Amino acid sequence: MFGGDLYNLLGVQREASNSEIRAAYHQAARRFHPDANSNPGAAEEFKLIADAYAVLSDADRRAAYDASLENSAAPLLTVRATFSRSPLPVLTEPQVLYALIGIEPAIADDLPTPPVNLCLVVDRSTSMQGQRLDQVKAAAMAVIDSLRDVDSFSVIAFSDKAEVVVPAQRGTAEKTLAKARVSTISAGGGTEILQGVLCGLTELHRNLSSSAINHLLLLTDGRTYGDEEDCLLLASLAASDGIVVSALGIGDEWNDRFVDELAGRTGGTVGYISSLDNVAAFIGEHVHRLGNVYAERVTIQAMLDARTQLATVFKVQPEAGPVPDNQPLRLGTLFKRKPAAILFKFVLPPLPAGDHCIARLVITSDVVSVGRRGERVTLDLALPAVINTPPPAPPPALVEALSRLSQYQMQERAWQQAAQGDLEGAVTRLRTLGTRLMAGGQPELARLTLNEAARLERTSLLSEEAKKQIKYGTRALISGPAPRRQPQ
Amino acid sequence: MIVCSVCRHREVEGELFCSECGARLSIDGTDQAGGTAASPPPDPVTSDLLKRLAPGQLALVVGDNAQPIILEGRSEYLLGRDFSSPAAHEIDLNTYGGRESGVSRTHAALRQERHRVVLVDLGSTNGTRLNGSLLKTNLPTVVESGDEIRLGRLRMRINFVP
Repeated sequence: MFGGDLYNLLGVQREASNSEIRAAYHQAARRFHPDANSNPGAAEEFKLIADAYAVLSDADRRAAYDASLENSAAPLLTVRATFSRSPLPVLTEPQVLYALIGIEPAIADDLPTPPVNLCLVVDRSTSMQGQRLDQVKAAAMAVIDSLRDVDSFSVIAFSDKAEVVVPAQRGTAEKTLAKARVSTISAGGGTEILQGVLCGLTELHRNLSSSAINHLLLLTDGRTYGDEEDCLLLASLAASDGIVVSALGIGDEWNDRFVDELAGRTGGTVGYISSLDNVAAFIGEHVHRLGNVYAERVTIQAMLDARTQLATVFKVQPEAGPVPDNQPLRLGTLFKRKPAAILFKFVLPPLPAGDHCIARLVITSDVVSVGRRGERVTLDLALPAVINTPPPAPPPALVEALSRLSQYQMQERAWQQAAQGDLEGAVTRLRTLGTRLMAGGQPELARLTLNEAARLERTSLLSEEAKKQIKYGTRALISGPAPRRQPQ
Repeated sequence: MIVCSVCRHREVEGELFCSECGARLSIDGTDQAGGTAASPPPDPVTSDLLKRLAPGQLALVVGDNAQPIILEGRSEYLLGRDFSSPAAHEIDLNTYGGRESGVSRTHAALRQERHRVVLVDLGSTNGTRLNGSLLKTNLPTVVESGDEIRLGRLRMRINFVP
């Protein structure tokens, strides 16, 4: 059954007259008719629009629908779009349009914490020996101490194969035994992430619930070989079951590109820790934040108008990260009192003057904090194009986000160039990035980047450590607070 | 198309940052030849100046001086200072504080080629910059109308009818 608002679907107000509804239906139907729009999702949307019109165009059915609305609650998500250009200029060539989509909890009150169904998947390969594993074990025990009756918890340890250290158990039962089991984890063997994730998902499935936060936290310090594709497939399956996979990479050896993709497919986040002192604190913080969840399984289905292209999607808030372009886009978790912000880059065809529909975004989520599933909001992106007005200045928040995103993308391209053997290009790019970071009030990250440029030039070798520090450093800037500007 | 004023990289209209060097793209960097229907009109001073320029003439607006230097009739102009007996193609920048701003005696040359204007640094001590980026010595670089040229610390803007 369709969970959204039929008026919202047609893009009209509740008070709309019959002729307004008919006009809105014709417009919406034209946009998504299968003959005119072959983009994914368009046909489904067309059908929903036709069904909505069938109800709203019939006086009796509309009255019955209105009555049912009286009894249902207000929308739980507030969404809005800010554009890099509004209005658009009339152009005879293609143009780029950025849209920053803000998604906010509509309820700001204190809400109960929904049940947490959590599995820690711990890499116990030989390289974890000593302080790394000790820190992880201490963190796992602290998590066990913080469990409530309604929560569910499990621990998996993996090397070449995986074992269930703490089987999925409800909350407060047998905490002492669970901690004793965690303390027996010892290091040895290789790193096969597939084994660990597979075992972890099995444990999560025992208490899987669409009214809970289902979360897998992977802690690893190594590279997995040969099973990456299977891992990614598993992540996609986990996502469709409503499970978010997040990861913490420890040290310099782990494969950041792969882990980013793994977590990204589920809407999860990736953290990087270079200093061992922070491992326990990071895990504690990560789990603590699950207590502040407002909604889970936030997704956006982007249905493009016929001539719109979607170039990239990047999550800006609450935690920055690339969003893999598989539809629906998975954004993971929305926290209480913390808006999420997602940046879309569209490429538009040459535009004549007039109003232009760009895309329809359908945002769905399970608002677990109030126990409502399948919340759905539709946001239509449409702008007028006008002749001969100088484009207005883009909104500062969007410029700031893009400025930092462009720095993140510069380091990505530098590593790419280095990997392709263009060392000179990589060195130049890192130097330019260093200068930008310095001007942007980030002296430490700037120095790190400039040093890495110098090292690359001198030795032709990249340091994995510096690379990860720069990557996750520039990424953290995207969602971080505004920098202190140095006086010019 | 927009052209990055720092590194001359080309970006699609509407882009806000250069993907090559990360610089903020200015709206007035719009390439006129790109078929842009809605580019902002040039500021009144520049458009007035352009109206008075004949094809083939180059106008150099040095610093904040209202009166531009008009260059015409030659295919090459030398930019420098302290020329012993300045010929028509030798532009003495001492009148504009050339020495104090680090302009070399023979600093740079502007050449008018068939369909374009190029700028060459002639081995100056303090370098020549085009829209902020340093030119390599003796390497001719294409200049567009409206570009900023910097000889040492002396800034000037060049305008001509394309």
